[in-house]
Amino acid sequence: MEQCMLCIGCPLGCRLTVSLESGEVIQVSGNACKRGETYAKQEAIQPRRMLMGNMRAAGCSRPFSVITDKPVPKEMLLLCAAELKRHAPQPPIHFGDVIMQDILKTGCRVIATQDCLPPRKQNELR
Amino acid sequence: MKKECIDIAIIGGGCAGLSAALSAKQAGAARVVVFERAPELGGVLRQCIHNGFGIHRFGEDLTGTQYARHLVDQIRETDVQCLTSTIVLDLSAERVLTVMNEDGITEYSAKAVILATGCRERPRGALAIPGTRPAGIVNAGTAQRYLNLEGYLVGKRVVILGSGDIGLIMARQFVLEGAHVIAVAERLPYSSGLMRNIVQCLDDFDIPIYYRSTVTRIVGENRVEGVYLSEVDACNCPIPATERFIECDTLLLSVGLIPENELASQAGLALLPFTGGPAVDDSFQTGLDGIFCCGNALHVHDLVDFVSIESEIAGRMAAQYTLAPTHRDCEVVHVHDGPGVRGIVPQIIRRNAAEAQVTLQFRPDTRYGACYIEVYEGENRIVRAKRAVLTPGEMVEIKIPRAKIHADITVKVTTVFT
Repeated sequence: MEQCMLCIGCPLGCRLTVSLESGEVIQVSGNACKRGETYAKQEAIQPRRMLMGNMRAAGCSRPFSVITDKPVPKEMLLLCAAELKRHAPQPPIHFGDVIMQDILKTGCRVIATQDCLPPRKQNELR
Repeated sequence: MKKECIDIAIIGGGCAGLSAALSAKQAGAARVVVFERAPELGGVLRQCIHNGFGIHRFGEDLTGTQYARHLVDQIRETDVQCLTSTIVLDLSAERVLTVMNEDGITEYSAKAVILATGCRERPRGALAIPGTRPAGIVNAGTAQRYLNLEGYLVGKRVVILGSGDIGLIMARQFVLEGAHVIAVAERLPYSSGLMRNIVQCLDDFDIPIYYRSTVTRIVGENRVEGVYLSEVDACNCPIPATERFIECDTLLLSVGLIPENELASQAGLALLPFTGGPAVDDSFQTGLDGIFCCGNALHVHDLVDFVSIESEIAGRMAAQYTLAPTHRDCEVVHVHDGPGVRGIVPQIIRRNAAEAQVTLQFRPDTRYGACYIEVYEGENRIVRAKRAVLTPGEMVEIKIPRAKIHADITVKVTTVFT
């Protein structure tokens, strides 16, 4: 069985052809580099995508951004995005904090990519 | 009015400004000050929560916010003074800056200035789209700022005009936030965004993209109620018979970025038509002594990695300029846009500079398959490089050995089979 796809690894956008047999990838062609081969092998069996989004810390009016440490299964992308909205972690949030250890049993962690620090008191020095 | 004397003034605290500041310090510059009008450093990177940044520069796949944090952490280790919530009101050709913030107005006299003022988005008014002016017409970058920095989703049923990367990235983000992105309309027959963004932002979510199409009317009283889409012909004129109505509550515009160069103009620098920035030589010095320009203010980039690389050179050169001011090298050659080439940077090459190679960047005027980039000095071809594909959405780079350049050069694109 053959599957065609466009590689998203770099700006070239090679058109790849993947040959599958009994659910396993036996050949990848059309790629200009190794990354394309790696991408094709994953995409043909189980497409995965990085999830990025915003979360709101409890009591904070502004969001802070997060991203998964690994791509989640593509079919779970929208479910995971909705899941981010259901959690309101306690501030302070620091850049790099692990907000969720395993989102919806995907094995992927959710990492903060911004700070969310409690608002400064009025008489505190800058 | 307070007056201060500094070595290097860097206007803009985004990727370009910070990269230039770090490089200037490494090259031995003394007092470097970064002026940033936002409350935080980072520029547009602050609102880019998606990944794809840093692959070339750091070998890591980072979000925009992570890339910015990397730069800010490095800056904090130096004695570079970063003034945030601080705006430069005026810049003179003699490198005097009039600066305003909470502390009042200060005049800074600098030995060198680096313009790193970034770019802004083209608005609806510039396109003169007919129709009413309801709420819900938002530029994609503005929508990104509202969502990622303020926490507001600007609409629920979205049509996007323009297939540039910002519009594509926001299409994905809107879907992930639970909104419905109905369609993307693109005037050209191809996207100006990266193919990978077409795949991971549109195809992944079954969002249709209509090429050779544009918005010909906006409808709505207080809020957008819908838009009319029409196909356009080869001259970009709408074809009336193809006009159709799409109900929506938001029109997102992703129709081009324009370098922000009011200060450059105030100082007396002319802005070039294709790049929107001033002319520079290969040290990124403009026509005014001691005034340098880099990043999106010079020409709009696709990847932040290349903004860093370019700005690091500008920072180093500005530092060298302050440490050993020399007369401007009068032995220069000019670089011209030939057929197929738009907005080559730099426009001037110093004949006697130390660096062995000169890097030229430009955008092709249209899509090319297999082609050659050729550099001519008069009738003589001095460089020919083969490329598999060129597209206006991706900046092209070519390196030339300085020793090969003796007179004005022209860069052109030729297809393989001519």
